[in-house]
Amino acid sequence: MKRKENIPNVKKNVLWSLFSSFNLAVILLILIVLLAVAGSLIPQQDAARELARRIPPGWAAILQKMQVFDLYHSVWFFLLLGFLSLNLVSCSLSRFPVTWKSFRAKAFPDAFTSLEDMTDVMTIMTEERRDSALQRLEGLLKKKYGKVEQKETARGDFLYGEKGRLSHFGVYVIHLSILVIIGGAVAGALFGFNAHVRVSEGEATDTVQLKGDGGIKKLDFTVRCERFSVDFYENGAPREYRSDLTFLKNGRVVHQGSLLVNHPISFEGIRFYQSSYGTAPDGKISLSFRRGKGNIHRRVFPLDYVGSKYYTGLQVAHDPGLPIVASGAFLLVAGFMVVFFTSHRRIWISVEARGDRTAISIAGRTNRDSLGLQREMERMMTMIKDTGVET
Amino acid sequence: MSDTVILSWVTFVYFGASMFYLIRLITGKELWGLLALWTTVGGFSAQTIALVLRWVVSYQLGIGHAPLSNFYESLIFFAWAVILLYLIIEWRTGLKSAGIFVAPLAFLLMAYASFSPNVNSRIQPLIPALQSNWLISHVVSCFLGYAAFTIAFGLSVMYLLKIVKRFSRFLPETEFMDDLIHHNVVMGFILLTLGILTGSVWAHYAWGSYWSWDPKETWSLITWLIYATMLHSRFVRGRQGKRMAILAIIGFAAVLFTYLGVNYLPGLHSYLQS
Repeated sequence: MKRKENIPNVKKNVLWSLFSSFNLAVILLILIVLLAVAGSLIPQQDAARELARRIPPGWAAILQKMQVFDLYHSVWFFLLLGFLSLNLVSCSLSRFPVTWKSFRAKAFPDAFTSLEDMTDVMTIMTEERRDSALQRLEGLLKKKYGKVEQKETARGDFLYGEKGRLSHFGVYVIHLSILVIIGGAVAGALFGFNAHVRVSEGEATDTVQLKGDGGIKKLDFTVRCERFSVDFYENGAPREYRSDLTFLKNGRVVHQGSLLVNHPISFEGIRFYQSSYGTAPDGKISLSFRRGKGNIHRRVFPLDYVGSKYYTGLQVAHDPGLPIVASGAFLLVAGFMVVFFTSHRRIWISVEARGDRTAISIAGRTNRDSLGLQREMERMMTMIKDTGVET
Repeated sequence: MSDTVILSWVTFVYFGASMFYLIRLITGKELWGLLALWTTVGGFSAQTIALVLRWVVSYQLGIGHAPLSNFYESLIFFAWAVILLYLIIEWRTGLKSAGIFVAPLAFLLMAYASFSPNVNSRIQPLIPALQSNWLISHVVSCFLGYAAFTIAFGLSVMYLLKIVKRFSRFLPETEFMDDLIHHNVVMGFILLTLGILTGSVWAHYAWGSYWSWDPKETWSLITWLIYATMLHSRFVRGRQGKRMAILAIIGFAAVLFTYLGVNYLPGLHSYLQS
């Protein structure tokens, strides 16, 4: 497909052609791949602490500063995503006029003779009369393509059918979906949180420890662990982890439920996940005091009583970007359906009297999957040859 | 007979089929091609029976689940999917010469599953994280996608042999191979996308986040980006042929790393952990 056609209505300035260039897209994709590879090989976040201890502190500080230990949340990564988004938008915009032209392309039933680049025009000669052939072919085309346009010219009669015009827009749906997903992910990273909390059986808490900087976040409600249980298979592998949780607001029980792996509990937009467990810390109990506003002091008291009490480790997450990402995913699949399973197919048939015989020719054009179109044309040709076919 | 015994026999059947495809390529005699096809069909049927048997047995053990839950089962399913796709392609296009580039890959997967000491072939119960309805759709779409990429890889090797050495007059036309590589990559790309999406939904329920940069997630994204670049250079730039074949081979290397290499990095998906 030639894309070098002149693109109307777009000012040719340097910045624009840089951002709308396909080469930039490839370079950005390669850079993102390289960053992702580095992130998977170099220990990240918590795992990086051990590495940082083993290398000279100067180096560790530099790498830390360069955000090498948290590449997926680094300035580099966000910059790449930003440039990729810009590139996606400008590539799509700069190609849109051409797409629009193809979408609005008028039906020329008699364009047949002037289109040289049409793939393999096929022709057969029949004894059939022009009128009956026309009627039969129109029926055939209508069955496959819905509406049929017809035109009578001095050279003969032309029939024209098409389908899948909307397939031109599939690629924009996919690009939009990628932008939506990136947007949702960024929204989640900015306005959401991911935290962890340990609650011993019988205890309650309204604060959780944030991942990353380790800050403390206070919830608008209290969660109490009534009971934790773990169940094993005969071979010793775990079968089930279960925490019975109670959610309280202003001292009143608002919600109760069992938390299992793969079955999170959502409460007031905050989701709780079963993530770990253990026996309550070696006979000590940790208490939190609140003093003043938001300052939390933690003191640990030794406890004489050592029971086989469990604590449950809960992951606590809030992600306002989730519905955005989910709709992006749906858009992505929808775009895939259009791009990979539909194409804009246009078919021309000409019926021309040559002496006492009739020449039937068929030609086609498509925006993709030309092999598929060719197969369809061959099938139509055999149906045309077979005069017995119903109209 | 136990399913693992059948499956280790299937390994040799695929080896035999590979040899027959090779002999057909060298001698050009169609009889060998026919023999290769029916050997493959026989191996595939036996493998299907063994998979069903394994499924049934897991229920008899009281830990019923689809045979898609550990490394051994994934290798077996991978090989099964490769052969399934190959047979469909041979049936639809009449292409036989690709057999020698595909059947040995299925043989290697089966041999690794059956004879490597690192692979545990026992039926294991599902740990809590795997107890999910998303298991089947996630694993099936990922491995069908891997299988399509595997076939694209085999065809690409064949393509390069054809253009580099005029290797054999029995290899099909380059245009035909190019188109087939493209179709397999498209199919693999769609399935990989579905695999990543179903995996994200599952991770959302199991791990508390639809994306956590676990090495397997990261590498599946890397693989996805490589194939996305490949498809764009065809759609936008109209690139075909040799360049596409080379990209399909690079993409397959990423698939292999996503599947196997990632096990040596710490992460949630690690097969070696359990």
